[in-house]
Amino acid sequence: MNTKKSKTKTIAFLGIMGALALSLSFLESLIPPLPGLPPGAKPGLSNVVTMFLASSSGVGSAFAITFFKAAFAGITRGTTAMLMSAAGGLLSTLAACILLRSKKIKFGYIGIGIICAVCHNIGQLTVACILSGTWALITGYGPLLMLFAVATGFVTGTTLKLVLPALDKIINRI
Amino acid sequence: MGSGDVLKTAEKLKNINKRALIAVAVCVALIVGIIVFDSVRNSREYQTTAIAMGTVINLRLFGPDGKENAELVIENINETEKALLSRNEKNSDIYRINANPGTAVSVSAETADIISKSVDVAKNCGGVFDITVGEVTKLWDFGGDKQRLPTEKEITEKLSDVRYSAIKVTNTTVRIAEGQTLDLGAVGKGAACDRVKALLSATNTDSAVISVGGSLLLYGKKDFNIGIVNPENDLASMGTLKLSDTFVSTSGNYEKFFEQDGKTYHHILDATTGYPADSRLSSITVICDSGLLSDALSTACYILGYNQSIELLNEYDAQAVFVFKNKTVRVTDGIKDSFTLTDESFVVAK
Amino acid sequence: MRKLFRRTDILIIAGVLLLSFLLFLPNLFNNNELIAQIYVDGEKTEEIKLDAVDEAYTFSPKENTVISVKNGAICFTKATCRDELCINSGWLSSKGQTAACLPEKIVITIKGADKTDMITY
Repeated sequence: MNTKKSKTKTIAFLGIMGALALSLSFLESLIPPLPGLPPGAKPGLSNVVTMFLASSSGVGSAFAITFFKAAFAGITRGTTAMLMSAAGGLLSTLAACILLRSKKIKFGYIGIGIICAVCHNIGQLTVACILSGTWALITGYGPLLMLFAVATGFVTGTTLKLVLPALDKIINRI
Repeated sequence: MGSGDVLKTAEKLKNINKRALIAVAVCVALIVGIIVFDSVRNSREYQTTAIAMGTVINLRLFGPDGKENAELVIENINETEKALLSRNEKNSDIYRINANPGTAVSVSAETADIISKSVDVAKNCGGVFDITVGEVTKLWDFGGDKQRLPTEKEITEKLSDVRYSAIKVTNTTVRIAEGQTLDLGAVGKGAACDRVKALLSATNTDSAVISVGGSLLLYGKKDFNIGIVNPENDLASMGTLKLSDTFVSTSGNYEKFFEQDGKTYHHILDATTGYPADSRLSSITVICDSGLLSDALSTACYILGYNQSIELLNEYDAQAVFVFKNKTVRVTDGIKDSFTLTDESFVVAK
Repeated sequence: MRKLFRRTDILIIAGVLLLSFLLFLPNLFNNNELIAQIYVDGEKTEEIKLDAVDEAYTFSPKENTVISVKNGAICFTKATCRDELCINSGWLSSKGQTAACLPEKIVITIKGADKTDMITY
């Protein structure tokens, strides 16, 4: 195996995945804040990318994109955004890695999407509480955020299942 | 065609159907999401309290851009005070009218309309409500430094200039007679509500309930529960009215008053006597499709009392809740079903 | 090949719904809280949980205006207006009570009972 070529391939591949994740994030940012939900709450479609990587590529690449997203958020939107993205992303990617790579855990894509969305929200909520100095946000935003996670998890899980064949092809070609 | 081919086709069909099903499910989820998002967005509420027109303004706006629209509302109310109604702002319409008695002063069409309608109410209530009562109000100075009981002589003297019939209004000019002073204190808040309604119609606000010192604007299709304050205790409401798309004003003897020599003098002056109205009512709440009218009528009806108010209210197609000093409550037919008594110490008359 | 949806996913959804409900419960018990809201120039600048106040303290939302806070009550103690109407409103300690300093455009209001959307007076 030509290690130089495979390294280039990996970088190119991660580049594509990163760009994909960022464009999805950007599209989501166009949605105005919803009442009852914290200002940054979004469907998390870019998580489809990390979930795909967790299942078909590797733990390393999944976390690489997660950090990449957080760093990008930090550069473009500031420290708070970076922390929120990092906390939500890490917890969600961790869940994705465990659930998608385990042969024993047989949840459907929708179920996994929901769990990842819930983890994403828990991570962000925790950071929000630490930053604003009060745990009241948990009972304040928590209930609606969890319901929201069921819906978004459904969408991301289903989207993942739909695009998996296409993304797998990309991975196999590279 | 063998059984193997049939199986293969069956498999293919199954896969297509599954894919179609999933595609449809995602589309439905997205559509539902968008619908929920849109309806939640529209029920978004923005609430704030501000000070304008010398009183407390409470705003609750529903729909997009709540904060921006709320700011526009406050600006509009300040504008109403500054440009139209203020007795003190040097260039306001009212100031200039008062400063030039005997002259036809050029004013905004809105001010002319407000004055014209006020004169109309004065006519229909026998002059107990009269916006030319300004000089008499000054004598009493309710809530001011010189608050006192004026002498009979002072009142009689100033009362001679209280004559709404001396006002001459055209579409754009107003003229009062020498010695007269206009005081729109009794209708200013309602008039401000009218202008706010016009403003909101030009914004993307879905609905709103706004209180300008207790005079309310209910805007949009949304139903609101409006509380009528307990005259004895302004912490609690004694009843609620379920209303939408209307104006509500209350006149009561508890708002501004002072005591002198054991007697209580409240601020609702009977323009025909120059003294606080001697009424069996503690308060009256009028509901009408105009803010100006609901304000004017609440003042007029408080002074007239229950029996003589009914005809006046009918003339303007207005409804009312009368709260008597003996804690009886009378509700006009049009809103009988919308009123709920919440304080059992009051009794609704049949 | 992992399936899109399995029966266990229903358990997951149920679990999250339960979690949502559990997080919501504490909100039902908050109704007895006395919360004071301070509005300055038309914007809400503070929310104070009066029940949670241990030591009485004062603060100045604007120069020359002082608001005092103690457990269960709040009031204006210094103001720039001549008539000092705001100070004369005294300690606010019940839901729905309001005190306003008109010249400074500062309003203190205690969050009211939810029965009515607005009060006419």
